[in-house]
Amino acid sequence: MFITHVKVKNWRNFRKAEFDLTQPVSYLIGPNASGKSNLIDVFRFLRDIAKPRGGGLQQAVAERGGLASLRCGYVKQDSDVRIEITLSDALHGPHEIWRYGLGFRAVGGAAIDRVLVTFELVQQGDNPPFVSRPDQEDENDPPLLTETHLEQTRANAKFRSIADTFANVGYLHVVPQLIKHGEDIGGNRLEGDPFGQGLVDRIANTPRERREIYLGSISDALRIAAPGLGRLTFRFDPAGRQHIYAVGENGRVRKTWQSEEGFSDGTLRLIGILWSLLEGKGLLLIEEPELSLHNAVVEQLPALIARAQRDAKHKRQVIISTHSEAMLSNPGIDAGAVIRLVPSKEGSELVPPTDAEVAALKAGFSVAEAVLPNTRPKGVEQLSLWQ
Amino acid sequence: MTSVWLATEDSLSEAVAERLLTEATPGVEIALRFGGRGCGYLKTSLPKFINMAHRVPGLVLTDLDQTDCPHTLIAAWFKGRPIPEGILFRIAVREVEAWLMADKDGFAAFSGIPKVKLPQDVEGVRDPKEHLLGLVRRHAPKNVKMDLLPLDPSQTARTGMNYNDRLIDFVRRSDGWNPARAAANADSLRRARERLAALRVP
Repeated sequence: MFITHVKVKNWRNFRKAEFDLTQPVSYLIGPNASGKSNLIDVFRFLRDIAKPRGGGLQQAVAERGGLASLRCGYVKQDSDVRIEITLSDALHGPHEIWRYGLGFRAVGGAAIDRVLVTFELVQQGDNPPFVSRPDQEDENDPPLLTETHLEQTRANAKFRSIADTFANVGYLHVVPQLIKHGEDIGGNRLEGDPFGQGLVDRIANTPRERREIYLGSISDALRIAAPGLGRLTFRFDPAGRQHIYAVGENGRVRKTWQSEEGFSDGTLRLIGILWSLLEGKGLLLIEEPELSLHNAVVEQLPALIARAQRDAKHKRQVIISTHSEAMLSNPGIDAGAVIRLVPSKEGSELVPPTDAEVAALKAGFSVAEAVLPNTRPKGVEQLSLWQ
Repeated sequence: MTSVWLATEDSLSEAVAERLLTEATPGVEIALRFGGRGCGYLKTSLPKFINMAHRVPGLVLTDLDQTDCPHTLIAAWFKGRPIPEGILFRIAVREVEAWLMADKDGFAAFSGIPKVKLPQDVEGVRDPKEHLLGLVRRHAPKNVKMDLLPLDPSQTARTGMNYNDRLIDFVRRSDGWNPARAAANADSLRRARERLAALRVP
């Protein structure tokens, strides 16, 4: 299912925020510290509640440092945090709509790291809701309100597809150094492997036939982005460890083999992003995919992602946070695909494209030309005059 | 509130256009800013600006540079067709740097260059930016030199790293650049200000 509408209240640096997701790929833009990652965290939070292993509301709140750091500091009263999501089985054409809503607050003040559900709603179309809490059962047994129905396999039988959609949310902020040196550092791997440390393992665990198809698709893309790299394949090294190899022709008959440790940061990031698009399912959140990539390659990212979405077994909905002018210069990006954050004294706000920006887009300017300049921090030139 | 857009060659011209616009038409909202990629971008995007002007009016400010006169430039850009009503098309003779130096009192105070050394006829200066840099090299105090001049003149950079932001700061300060004073010495600026004043919205 696709997530088509989001409404939050009292969430991190948003008093309230509401936006549509109408396109296969949406772009989240805004200055530094405007709350791009915080907004993306709504989806990760739902994933953390719904995930089959170690999920749940209490855990998801605790992982974020408790309710005190989760709720919006700009909201004076101790009010509920609320999240309302609309889902649909298609982005266009006739479709069925589902709604999921969740509200919660701290028990006996925010100091105690335990939260209670104040509101939970699951509804399909205009039918009577499957769930509308608090209900009679909750009244009879108040501790039930420490859990959502989303996290209970028994309770969510009638809306399993919603729970699965949330559980499948992926988050990607590939850190190439962690892929290369993960073993040396011996670092913990976070749930869902956001930094790509486990990329090689994930590739290893994919059935061979599918793995070769995916690596073939990625090789095609890399042939242009990183010419000379060669074709990707997957093998054991002499020590028995698995690696991604690029097999190139070095001009003579001899082939050159290069493992992922020798890949450039940009190459690894591209492989990580493309692999996730091809392999997984559900909403994929990608933070600043432009990092360490050449501008000319970044320009092609929207097209590359669109192609990967077409090649994938499950077409993933994608939300990208970016500062990149090059990426947004693709004229195929619609005004409706842009979610813009604007910081203010009272927390961040979502500002839809203005009339003038829409006029500029219709006149043929790209999002990079018409919308992105308006996210520039005011007086940024002063930055270099600091004393 | 009336919305307009701005299209300029670089951030310095943008600051100049913004200052002129907000002084001439207080309360106007600058809805969009295009440019920052030189005059080539402005020229190639002209059809889009014309298209845009049907919906939202805008100001294009470009440098004359080495073209012999503004009429030649307009004829070349618009291919002989009239400039559409929604576009106010202004040309700085020959670069906005000339407009800055035209405010002799302000520029002398900002740069530390003696007023008498500033050009009498700024619009007659063939390359105002080069002229400005030359004056800084000869007469400005050390801190101004450090901001405006390249670190190593034998290399390729023409200006210092802080050239734009230092001049932008001058343009934006109410006690810095004085457009009215400058207009008395730069005819292209005087006419630009007059046309902008005529735009005044009720």
